[in-house]
Amino acid sequence: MLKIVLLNIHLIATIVWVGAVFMGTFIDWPSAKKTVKENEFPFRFIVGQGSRVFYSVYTGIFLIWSSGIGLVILHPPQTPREILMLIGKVLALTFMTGFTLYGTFFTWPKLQLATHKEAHQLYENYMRRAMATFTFGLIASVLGLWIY
Amino acid sequence: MEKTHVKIKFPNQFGQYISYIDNLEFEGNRVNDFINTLDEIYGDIRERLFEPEGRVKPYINLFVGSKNIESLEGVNTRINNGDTIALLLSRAGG
Repeated sequence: MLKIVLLNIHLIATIVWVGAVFMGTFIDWPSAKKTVKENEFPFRFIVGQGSRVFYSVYTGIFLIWSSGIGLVILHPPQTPREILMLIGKVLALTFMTGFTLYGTFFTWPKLQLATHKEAHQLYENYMRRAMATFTFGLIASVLGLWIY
Repeated sequence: MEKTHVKIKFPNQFGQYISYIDNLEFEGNRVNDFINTLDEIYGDIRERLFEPEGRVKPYINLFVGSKNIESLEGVNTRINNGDTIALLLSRAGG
């Protein structure tokens, strides 16, 4: 029963985190760019979205790690293949968490204080890391499905 | 014009744009005078903190003492000698 609860928490947290990254990267940013003039940065929209996404992303991260650790304790990997997949998943999650923390502590404070020109450069770099986060999210999700 | 001396408590991310100064003497006694002085010395300060129509950006909080200037008179808020001007950013992003 506990395993099913943890699996469900893990799944929902994954949808929230990876879904938020997908929405921000592939839907919101291309649309937001078109709402302003070429040299302007859509500060209000992007920072507003960032303020909202902060809580869901960090709730997702906390739930993914805690439910994942719980699942490993309840169902330790048995075969070399499972161990390898778990290592791959942990690495992917570590990269995702690292990119997210970097964004929170370094990119977003700079972005909030940037000029329009600086903001475009900062956000383009941030988008590259977001695409990497999304890719690692997909890898971690698929590996998770194979493990269980 | 009277001169006002203030202490500055800005986050490091902003400090880099004003050479990490922690105090400033400027002519005048309003937030607008303070910002104008920073803008003249360091450039781009107004663009970093304010919207084109002159209000502080909604995710930036500028304080005189313990009061957010948006709850006072905005850029016309009076600054007294020895006041501390502080800046706080919204928590955002991931």
